[in-house]
Amino acid sequence: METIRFLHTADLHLDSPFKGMAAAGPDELARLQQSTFAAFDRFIAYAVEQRPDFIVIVGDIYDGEDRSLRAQIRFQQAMQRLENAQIPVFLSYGNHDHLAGNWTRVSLPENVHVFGDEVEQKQWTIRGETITIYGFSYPQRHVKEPMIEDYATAGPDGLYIGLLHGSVAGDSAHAVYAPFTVSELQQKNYHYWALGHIHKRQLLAQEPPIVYPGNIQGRHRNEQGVKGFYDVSLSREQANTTFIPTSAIVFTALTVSCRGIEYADDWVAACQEAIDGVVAELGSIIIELVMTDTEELADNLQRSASESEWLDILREQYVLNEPFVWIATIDWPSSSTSEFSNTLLEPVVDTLTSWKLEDWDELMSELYGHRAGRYIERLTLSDREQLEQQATALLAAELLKEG
Amino acid sequence: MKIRKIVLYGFGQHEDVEINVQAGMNILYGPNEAGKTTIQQAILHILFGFPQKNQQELRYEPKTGGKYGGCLYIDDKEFGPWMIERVRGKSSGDVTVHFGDGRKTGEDELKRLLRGYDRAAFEAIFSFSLFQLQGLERMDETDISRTLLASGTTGLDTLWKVEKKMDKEMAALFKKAGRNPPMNQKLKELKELELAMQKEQQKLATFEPLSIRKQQVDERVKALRREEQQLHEQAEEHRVAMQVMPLQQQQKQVTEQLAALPSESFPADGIRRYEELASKQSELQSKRMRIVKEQQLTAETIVMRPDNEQRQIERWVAQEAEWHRLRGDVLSAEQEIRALEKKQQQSKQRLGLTDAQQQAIEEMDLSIQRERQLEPLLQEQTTAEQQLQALNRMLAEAESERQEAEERKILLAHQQPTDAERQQLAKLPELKRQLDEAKARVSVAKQSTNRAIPVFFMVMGLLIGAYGVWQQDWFIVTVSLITIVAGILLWKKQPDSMEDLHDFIDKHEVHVEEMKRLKEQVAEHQRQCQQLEAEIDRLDRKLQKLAAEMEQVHHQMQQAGIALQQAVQGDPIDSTSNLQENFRLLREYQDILAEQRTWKLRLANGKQQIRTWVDQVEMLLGPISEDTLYEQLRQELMKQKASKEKDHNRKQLLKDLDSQLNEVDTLLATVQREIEELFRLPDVSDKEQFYAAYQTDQEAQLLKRQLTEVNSQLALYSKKPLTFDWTLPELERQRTETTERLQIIRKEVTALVDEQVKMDHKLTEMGASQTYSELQQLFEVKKAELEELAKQWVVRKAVMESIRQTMSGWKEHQLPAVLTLANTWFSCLTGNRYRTLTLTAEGYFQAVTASGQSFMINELSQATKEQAYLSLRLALASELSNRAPFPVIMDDPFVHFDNERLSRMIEIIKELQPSHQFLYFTCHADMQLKWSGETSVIEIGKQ
Repeated sequence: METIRFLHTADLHLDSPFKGMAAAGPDELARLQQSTFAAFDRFIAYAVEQRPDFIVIVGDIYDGEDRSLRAQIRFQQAMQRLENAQIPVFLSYGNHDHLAGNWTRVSLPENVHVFGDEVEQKQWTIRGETITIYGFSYPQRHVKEPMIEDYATAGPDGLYIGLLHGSVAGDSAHAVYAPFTVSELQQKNYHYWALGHIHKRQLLAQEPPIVYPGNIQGRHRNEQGVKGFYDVSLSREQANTTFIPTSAIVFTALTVSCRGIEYADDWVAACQEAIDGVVAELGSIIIELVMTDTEELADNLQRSASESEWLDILREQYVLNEPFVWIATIDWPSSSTSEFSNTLLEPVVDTLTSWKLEDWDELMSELYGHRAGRYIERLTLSDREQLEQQATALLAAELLKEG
Repeated sequence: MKIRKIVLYGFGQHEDVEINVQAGMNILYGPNEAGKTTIQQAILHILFGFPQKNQQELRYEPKTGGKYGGCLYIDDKEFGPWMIERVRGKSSGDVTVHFGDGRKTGEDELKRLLRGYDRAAFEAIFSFSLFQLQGLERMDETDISRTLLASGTTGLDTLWKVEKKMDKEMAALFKKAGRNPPMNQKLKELKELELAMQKEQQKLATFEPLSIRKQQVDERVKALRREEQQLHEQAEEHRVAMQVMPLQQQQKQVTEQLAALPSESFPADGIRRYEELASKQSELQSKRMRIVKEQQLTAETIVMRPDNEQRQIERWVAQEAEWHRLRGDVLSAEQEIRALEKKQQQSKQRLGLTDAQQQAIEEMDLSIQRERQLEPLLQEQTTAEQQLQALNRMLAEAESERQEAEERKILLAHQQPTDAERQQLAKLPELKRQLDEAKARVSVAKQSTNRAIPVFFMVMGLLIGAYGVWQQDWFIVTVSLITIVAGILLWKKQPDSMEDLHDFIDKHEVHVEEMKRLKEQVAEHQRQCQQLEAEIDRLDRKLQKLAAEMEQVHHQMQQAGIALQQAVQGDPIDSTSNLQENFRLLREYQDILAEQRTWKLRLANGKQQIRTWVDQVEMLLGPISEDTLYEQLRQELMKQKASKEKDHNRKQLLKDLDSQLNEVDTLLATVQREIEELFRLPDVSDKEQFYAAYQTDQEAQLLKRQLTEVNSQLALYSKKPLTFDWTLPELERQRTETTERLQIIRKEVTALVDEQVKMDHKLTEMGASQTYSELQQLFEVKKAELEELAKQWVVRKAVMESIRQTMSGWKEHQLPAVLTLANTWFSCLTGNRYRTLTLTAEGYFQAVTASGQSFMINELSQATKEQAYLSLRLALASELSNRAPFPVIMDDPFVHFDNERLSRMIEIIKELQPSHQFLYFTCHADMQLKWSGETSVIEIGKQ
């Protein structure tokens, strides 16, 4: 039995902007802009070096209507490199780069096999082993109905691989795209399910492997951790998946204990030490700092500067640092309520916490209704929590000041 | 929560005080200064901390400096019994909380135990004095109602402030129609970015049409290039055709021409061969002719003299010496005659003979006898002539001597002394005497005077005068006179003194000497004159004598001449001048003539012999010159001999020529055969035909060569035979068309390639353009920043809204409950005079009477106001009893109440006692009496 080897990636989102990078300067932006390409280049370099039998890319190569020409040309050039290295590429387009978009398309070299808007099979032989790949490209932005029924069941011979860009049915965290269930996939008797769409890397099942490789480069705070793709060795008997990191910049979070720290310079040193530890491990990072045990520091901090100033001070330490370090936020624990009258705060906070998401939306209505609303994302639950916390903290602080 | 015991270690005036209080009503009575307020404050201090040192509130530190602080023992439904102790420590004091179970804790736990209440909040509801109520008097209606609400809802004022601040901050962040707030600015930036992105996108949108266009252009260019290629090929074909077609035509033409020519063969190298043969033939023929001619020439016989003549000639040649001798004789005779004639001529000239005299001389008598006759006559004549000559010479000498003497005489006459000299000379004796006198005197006085100078002057004057006279120069004469005068003057001035005498002597001595000399000269002169006169006389006499002598000689000579003349009268020539010589010459002349006659005879004889000889030769050889006779004879002889030789040779030659002729004839026959052989091949009979055949053959050869040439050129173009159906003009037209088409294509291709390059550049630029992604990223950043701001805004909005909602919640739920209770109590207190406390639309409190009349708070009486206020506070306390079950601490608030209202108040408080502990501080003793039942009365300052 032949073992074939292929690379599985998805959700490249080439040249897509990083979200939530408030206050980032031109240097940082330039760095960020390069990162999706850098990650992609690593992927291509790996492919060219390792010479797998083929490559599958399961949707969302580009970021949608906003796809840049540059991204397409870079992609085309990369495909050309693979063509030169004689590595076939099987790709399907996802919700972000569906077929209905009227964006400019660049022509791709002949080693690239694109799946059409309906499930189709592509079959060929590698070293005597027949490989059959099923897949489809999104005909338009939304494919809400399940597509899994259209996938044929595997035959008795050869290796079968399914390409599917979509989400597990019933996963409320993500919008529904071509929903499927794990068991539905398993019933097809394929040897490997190459999934895309979900940016978080995960293995839905082992037998056969049903894999979300995640995206190759995190692009906002919700895409934390090292990103990359899978190098898969597959035979009828077994499948080995190896994760290959690609991300040029890693989104991460770090908790820093301020116990025993009283003065600002000590605090900066402690933060730097903690950050440097992370950098040593991950390389370039965009990091969210969470402060704990700030009791002893609190007075000092509160009196001398605002939180944003502390953030600036810390950011300054990493200007033009190599590897790249960007401190996204610093979370301070909410001040203890010990200092001020509970009787005054409590009822207000009670009111605040009693609000549901709709109530918050109601608060936002003034903004949503305004033309500014276009640029402001809808609140999520976590946003609500965060806002609640921030509001409570602000209220407490203000009451403390006024009282 | 109820206080069980108050222990003060040291607080104001109190030291180690312990007060036990009960759960219900406690009246703490004490007169003024007893320390009631101190205890009240102590409770608050212990619970909420000592006031800061800089705060207005008193700290009540013991003036004694003893222990500061105290503790409270508390029973708590929720937390069980606990004790709080606060002593001096940090500024708010060190606090310790002890629980029933022995657990100890500090500030943190205390906050919980105090239900989060701070002192202000506590005081607002649970602790009040008359003073605080009295303060209302001075407040306006707004303040009152706010304070009412605020004091009842703990620091509501703060919340309002915060709410206001939030509102302001929100406005600072964002205004709906604003421009400057950061969010609005961000919005603007976002909009601009969006616009920029749109533009960029539009720009990039040209990528696709551009790529399509590029593809089209690429294809077009490719097609054009293909066509161009084809056209090039076609053009090439045409070009080849252009070159091949004339060749083919030529080929055809040549082939036709060749076919038209007869296909006779022409001997190889025929013409050359023929010409060689022909030239050989003509050569042979001419040779033959020459031989024949020579033969003819040689055949003529040579003329020769007969042998007898030859022998005669030979004989003559042998006698050549004889001939030359004859000739020599004649020649020498002629020479001799010529020499004699010359001599005759010379003599003739020497004698100056005329022809007639010549003739006479031949017969003249020249005998020696006659010669002796003539000689003495001649002698005499010559002597006379010589004498005459001598006399003449002497006469001339005498005359010249006389001439000389005359001249000397004239010279002497000039040297005659002048008159002045004569006068001087006359004076000389006088002067001499004077001089001697002077000398004498001088000598006497041993002095001598010199009179030389005047004398000198005078002499000089005389001399000069003499010279002037002699020269007849009157100026000089005048000068001499002046000199003389000067001399005389000097003389006259001769001083008488010795000096003068000396001068005089000096002067005149010289003068006298001069004079003496002059005298001698005059004498000499006179003597010379006399001598000269004598000489002249003598010479005159000599001259006369000589003249006489001459006369005589001349006569003698004339006589001698006449005698000679008579002697030579008969002679043809005068031979008297040199008689002997003349005679010799004449005799010589006669000799010459005789010799001449002899030689002439011999000459005539020689010439006769020669003539005879020449005549004989001429008979044989024809006329001939005498001089070249023998030369011709010899020639003739040699000619004769040569002719013989030649004749012999000719015969030999003839023999040779005959054989040569035979040979040439044979050769000619051969050549002729060969020529005929040559003519046989092209089947011609003569030379013209042969040449014509040759011409034809040459043409054929040329054509064949051309054909080969054409064929070889054609072979260059293609292996396979090319066939073209075009005519040349057609071809030309097609070529033009192709060229034009090519030009059009090239132009188009150039334009398209330009476009390609531009498009390539543009496409590459677009492909590499970061602008769009940069804008996108920037847009995201701005969006994030906007969201950040929006969050801040929302947070503020949330704070504000939560405060509002809480407040309105209070207003709408808690406050009505409180108000209902307060109304009840207020109504009760006022004996139903007022039924309710309500809030106006503006949020102000008003009291409404039973009849429905409403009054603003400040319109109420002082007591009523206090009652309204107390009703509200107690209602609040009652309402909060679950959350804040604190004891109510009052500092004599009822002093303005009348008995009725006071008792009602007491009733109300009694009503509250189960849930609340009451500590009532009063200085009114009778107040104890008003309370009945389970009331603990504690007297302050009585322990």
